[in-house]
Amino acid sequence: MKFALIVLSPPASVASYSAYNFARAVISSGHQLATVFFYQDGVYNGNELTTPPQDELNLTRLWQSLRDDSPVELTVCIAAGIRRGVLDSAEAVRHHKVAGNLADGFTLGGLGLLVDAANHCDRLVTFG
Amino acid sequence: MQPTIATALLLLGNVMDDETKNCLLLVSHPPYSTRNGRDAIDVALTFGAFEMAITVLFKGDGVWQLLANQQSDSIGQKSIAKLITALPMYDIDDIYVCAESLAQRGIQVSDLAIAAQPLAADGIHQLLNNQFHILSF
Repeated sequence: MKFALIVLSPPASVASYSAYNFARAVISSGHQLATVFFYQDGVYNGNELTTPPQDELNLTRLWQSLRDDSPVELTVCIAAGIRRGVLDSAEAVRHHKVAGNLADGFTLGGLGLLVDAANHCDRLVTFG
Repeated sequence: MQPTIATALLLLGNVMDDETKNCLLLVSHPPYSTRNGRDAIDVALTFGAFEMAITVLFKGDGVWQLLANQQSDSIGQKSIAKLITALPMYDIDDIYVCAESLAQRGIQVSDLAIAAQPLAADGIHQLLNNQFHILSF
């Protein structure tokens, strides 16, 4: 079965960690995980600058490890991201910011990618 | 080149995969305290822009989003009702509102900024049952 996830909560929220664990479970159960779409405050999951204490979870790193292990798209909603200060280097230039901060492995994309994910998956699961 | 059974099945799979899946947006939060309503409508408008069917249901405190004559300027916000009235321009006409939620809050259908169709509980049950995906905001 083909899954897509929507994450609406910031990395400090347990909902984001639940989403990550669910994503791992989808893959380890032999299902396909096509997309994780980060929307609303979920976009903070893609902020490279987030620096939690070393003995706490770093969701950005966990999402990156997931992407290292499987061909999942980690898509940060571009409108929600820019509004909250999560920009890739191209958007940083466009908006005259000193630097981009989108973590490696994540990409900025429009809501159209969420529409596409909804249309091409068997299960769309929202966290947050 | 003659298509093999395998490629024919692959093509069939692609066609089935591309079949539009009924999708419903459930809006149950009040406007302005969070961006939930606005973000939900943005998703709906995107479905519309891609010419994909989308149904929107306002329920619970989400029905406040629909009120006409919102004076959101006074709290430094753009009117959510204005955004909602853009839905039909994107060919989104399946807009429903929970009749019970309206009654509980003393809101008449005539108070709404858009012609949302009121649905009783059994109608909502049926509507939700007909969906492939439900996105909740």
